[in-house]
Amino acid sequence: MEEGTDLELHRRLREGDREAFEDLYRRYAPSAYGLALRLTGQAPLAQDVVHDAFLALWRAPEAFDPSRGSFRTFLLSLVHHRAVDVVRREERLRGRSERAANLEPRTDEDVAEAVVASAALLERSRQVREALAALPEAQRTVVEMAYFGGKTQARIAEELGIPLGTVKTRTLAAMRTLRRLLLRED
Amino acid sequence: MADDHGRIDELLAGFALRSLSGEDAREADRLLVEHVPGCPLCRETLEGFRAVAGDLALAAPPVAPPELLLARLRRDVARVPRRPTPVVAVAAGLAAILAMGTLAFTLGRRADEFASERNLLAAAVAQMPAGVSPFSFMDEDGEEPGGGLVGIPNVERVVLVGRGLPLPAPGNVYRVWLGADGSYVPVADFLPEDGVVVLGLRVDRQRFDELLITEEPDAPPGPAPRGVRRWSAPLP
Repeated sequence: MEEGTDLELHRRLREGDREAFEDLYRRYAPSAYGLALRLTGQAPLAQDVVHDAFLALWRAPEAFDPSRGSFRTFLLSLVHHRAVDVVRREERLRGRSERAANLEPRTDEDVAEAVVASAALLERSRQVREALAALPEAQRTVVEMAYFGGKTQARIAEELGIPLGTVKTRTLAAMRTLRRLLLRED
Repeated sequence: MADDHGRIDELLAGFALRSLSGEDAREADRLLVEHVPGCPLCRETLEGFRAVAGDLALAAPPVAPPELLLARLRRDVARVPRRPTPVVAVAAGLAAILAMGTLAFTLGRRADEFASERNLLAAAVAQMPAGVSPFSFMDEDGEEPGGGLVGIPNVERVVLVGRGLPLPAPGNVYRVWLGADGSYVPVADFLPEDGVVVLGLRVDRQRFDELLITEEPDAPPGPAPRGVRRWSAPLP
């Protein structure tokens, strides 16, 4: 139901409808900002990521192809890619230890969950968290370091002190499990 | 290749999480060009992993962005001219997403390998319904950029591929414009990552005959290029 609305808003967005753009922003900005904050650890950087992602959407709404997946997946992937770019750029510019501290999950973020108006998004969020929690800890760790830490598998192997091949094996096992759990419930 | 789907799946999982680097990233790029498009099993696997990666975003606690962010977006949206529908630009980040299904390239090899890279890219783009013949950009001195910057044309698409590109000055970006008769429309901004850029552009050749790249401040584009002209090429 919600995806149908997304598609309708996207259709209007392609026609230059600013109201549709803002509706999509209001729907997904909290998830996008939460993701960007989790990755970058800094509000100004996270705001830049979300700003740039939505502005890219405004500039080139045709980049979303409904045949390739949901709008939500498209948009949040866009945010994730930009956030990872920022994280890696910042890592090049700053010391690793400083940023590592910033990557710790923020303890005050859960209180903001009420900002998400969509029950469907909340439900999906719950499913994703449960799926992640269902993973063996070793698998969950590599997925979280990659996705939320913006780290390469080589870096993860280095930080965990395990062979690169083990990181790959754990990642694949985790992704297969997540795919089975999440696509079943989608 | 078909007997090594376990290894391919490992790469696709890492690719979906954007966590590959080095030789793994290059191998994934090759697979995405040479194998995945023709392998239903791998396409299904990749789509599944992409969907998972998209869902993982929802595991991060949502946080209300500051109101100022929407105000900033409203201001910038008002300043960004909407392009006519036939022209679609895909910024580097978006290109990466599009690449998951069909094309993905990482160019980081020696200059003498660039010709073969270009051939590989051309072969990939040829999967779209038309022949291709890469064209080179010239800088303002009439020289090709040292690392290589080529466009791979198709009927409605140009894939811009560059390697060995310098970063623009701090606070600047490279801006791609489509032009005709001295007037230009901004279509994408990019920053080379490790000297590399891959940019997919959809182009209306009935309206435009030139591709121009300028160096501009990282701000919403104005109606015409005002920064330093870096490279340009006629659209074939």
